[in-house]
Amino acid sequence: MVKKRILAIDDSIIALKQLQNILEKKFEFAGATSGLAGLKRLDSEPFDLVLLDIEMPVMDGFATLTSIRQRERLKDLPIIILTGTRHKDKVIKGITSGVHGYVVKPADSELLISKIEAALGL
Amino acid sequence: MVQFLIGFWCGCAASILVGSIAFSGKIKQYKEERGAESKKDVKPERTEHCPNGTSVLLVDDSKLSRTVMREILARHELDIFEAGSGAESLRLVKEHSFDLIFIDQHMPGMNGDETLQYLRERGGVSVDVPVVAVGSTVRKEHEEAYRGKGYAACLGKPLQENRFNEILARLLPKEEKDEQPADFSYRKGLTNFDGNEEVYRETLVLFADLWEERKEQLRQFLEEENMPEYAILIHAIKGDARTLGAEGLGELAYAQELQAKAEDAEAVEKGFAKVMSEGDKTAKYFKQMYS
Repeated sequence: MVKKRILAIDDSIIALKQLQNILEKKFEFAGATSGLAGLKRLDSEPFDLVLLDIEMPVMDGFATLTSIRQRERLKDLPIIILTGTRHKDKVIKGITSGVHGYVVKPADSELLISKIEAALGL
Repeated sequence: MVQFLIGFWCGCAASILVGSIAFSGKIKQYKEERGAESKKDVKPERTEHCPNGTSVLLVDDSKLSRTVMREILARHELDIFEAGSGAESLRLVKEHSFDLIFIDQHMPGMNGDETLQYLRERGGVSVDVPVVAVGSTVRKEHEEAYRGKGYAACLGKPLQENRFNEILARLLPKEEKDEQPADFSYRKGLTNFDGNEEVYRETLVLFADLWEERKEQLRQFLEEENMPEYAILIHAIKGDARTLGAEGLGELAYAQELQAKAEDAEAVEKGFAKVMSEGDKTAKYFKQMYS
């Protein structure tokens, strides 16, 4: 079976490395360290799901989310936001902005994978 | 290639070489000198990097195995205790506190897992005391499974020098205890990497490599009183620190993040030195320990 492709957008390469370690056995993983870099990849390659950090410089997660949704091709793309433990407001804003779920960082592998699989309908 | 053949582990007689030291004579000497099954060794030949009074317990029904292990440990300044059975180890842990425990997996009576459970439940050995599973059928690739059973690491017999030293470097307490990052837990951090030590260690070093640049950026944002950017960067540092198991730095960074988000530059400036100092210590430690 072809692996589903996941793009993680997070300004921390340490966070990306952790996500890659968790996900690469089950999925094809790619990382982008800014909202802009993420959008470029989304414009040029097909992905099945995006993991999106909220607090990023220049273009934050919500601005990135808005830009993704403005693209016709990506308007239904499953997106899971990554957030800190004490950011309830961000989670609520994310959910009301049409994301498919959220995961608290540092991501627990089983939880993250189950949320991804649920979002992908696996 | 360094000779490091320890062929006695399974009881098979052979010549034993560690480096250029012939072991067979030493073992004979040990056999003659040592009568009781458990005793304290008070000699270390030279100091390596452990604080005084670091105690190690070897639990193995094979006296020969314990002797070989003791000889390898001799270059560290350690108080070494031996137990020939799980029951005997229980008595020892009630009398002494240990910093590291090795348990042979295949012993008559209580096996390794039972001994571990016994020591934790009845002997009061804290989960913070690392325990290493040792055995002839143990392989490095089993480590995840052993972790699941409560061991900190596993070690196959015959011993391999690199593997053995790696475990000692990781699990023995370090001399510069006050230089360790605050509330750093290797095991907790490793959990966030699904037990993949290679990637975890790489990432610890990566954090250290990024630190100077991030520190400089934070300093610049503070000078410019650019609190939004400061908040974003310190937020990332907080997340990274927690991901890596460095809770002390994570908490300091979180306090700074809240202050920066409240645009309270004065409070950020006040706490700046403390978070930088903890970050310096953390980065230095990661670099020294895991490069």
